[in-house]
Amino acid sequence: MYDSQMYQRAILSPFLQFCPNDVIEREIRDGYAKKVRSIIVEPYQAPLLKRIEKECANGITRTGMTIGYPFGGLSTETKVALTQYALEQQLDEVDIGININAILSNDWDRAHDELEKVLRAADGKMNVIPVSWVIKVPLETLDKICQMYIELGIKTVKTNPGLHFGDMKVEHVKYINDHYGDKLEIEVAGRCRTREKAEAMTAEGAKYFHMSQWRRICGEGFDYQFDYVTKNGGYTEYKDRL
Amino acid sequence: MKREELAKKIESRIFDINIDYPNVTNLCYEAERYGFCAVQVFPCMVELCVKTIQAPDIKVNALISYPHGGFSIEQKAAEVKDAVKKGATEVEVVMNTREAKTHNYDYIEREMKAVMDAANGKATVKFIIEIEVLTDEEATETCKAAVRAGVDYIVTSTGLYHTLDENKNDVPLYANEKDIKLIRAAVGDKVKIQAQGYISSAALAEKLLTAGADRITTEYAKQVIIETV
Repeated sequence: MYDSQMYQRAILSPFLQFCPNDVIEREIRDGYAKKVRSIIVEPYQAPLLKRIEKECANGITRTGMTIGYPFGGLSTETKVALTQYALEQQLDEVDIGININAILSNDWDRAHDELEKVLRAADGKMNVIPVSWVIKVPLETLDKICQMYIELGIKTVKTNPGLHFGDMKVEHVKYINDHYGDKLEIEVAGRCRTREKAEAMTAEGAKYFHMSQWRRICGEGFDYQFDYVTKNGGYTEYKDRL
Repeated sequence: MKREELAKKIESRIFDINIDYPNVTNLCYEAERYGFCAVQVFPCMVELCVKTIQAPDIKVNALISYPHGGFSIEQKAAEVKDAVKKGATEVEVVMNTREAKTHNYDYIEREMKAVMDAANGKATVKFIIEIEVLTDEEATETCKAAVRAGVDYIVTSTGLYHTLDENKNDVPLYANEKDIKLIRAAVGDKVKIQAQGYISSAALAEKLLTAGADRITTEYAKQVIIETV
């Protein structure tokens, strides 16, 4: 896969807590310049994203916003209100944290009802992408989650919240693709940091990759790293593990 | 410190979401059994806690805009109102740290004031400042904004972040005495301090309280209290 193809599979989230506003703006502009698939921001950054989109739109990069990232622990009312806000901002998609607490309690009605309300608020005008917990749930629960998405008419599944919740495996992608790949597009999130891993996942059905270290995986330059000792960040050499 | 005395300064928290309802109710039952002052949960769990807790002095603390603090000021105020309506008696809001890293302290103060207005005296208002990403100067200015806004508590951290050891394994960033002293120096006695972040032993809890913290929040509340003689 060429670098340009990888950029078009990359989804950025330039909202980490240690980033000052100028870094966030630079990340968004660089994302447009590289024609990434999507740029996903937190709710307060949506107006900034739309402002930059007006200057930098490239016909490829989509705009999105998180709702309840990463835990999905917001109330249903807050999720619906934020979905309405995203619609007002004319975003293309929302990444919604599902109510995994209800799901693990076998309260499927509550999880279903919440997603249904969010979809209604999106009014068919935005892609609603649920952030799932593929690496944290048994396969039988994953099956039920995917079946719920399909029943609700959801077209895309995001595998994980990322952060330090664990590493996605190629096998996870293969399982979802083998069973639901004809109905659900797969966006991988959850510590996919090498091109080799991304390409192996692509071969098994992954379509897009949501990653904090997008430059690393696209093979160009360094991503913004934070040093908890100096309390400052910069575009410097990677110190973490792959 | 005696066990009962320490328990009153401990808030027990649910740190993860991939748990089921019995984990939430157990948090409440443990708070009642050991005499913790509050339970901290995600907003989607508030109603279950309110229904479960019988002891009137145990507070239900709802996390707001957690963990990244990435809601607008209006969205945070709306989430606070929703949590209070559902029965939360404390709200713990994650500050917009990007504005603090940009040294936009007016924004921080406006955010805090808007949340105070939204709570309208019906809930204790706490702000997580995520001190591990702030320089000393940024933390001090943030604390001064909290004093101006009149918030009830400053909370050190979400407790979510890790650094790496020499073998590149994740090591959680935990609350420390230096941070507590820095906050205390900035706020004096005008704002209370809540230490939060991987407080996994009674010894650490006591150190932080001695350094000036008013309250400890931990996912290891039961362990900490059992360790205390």
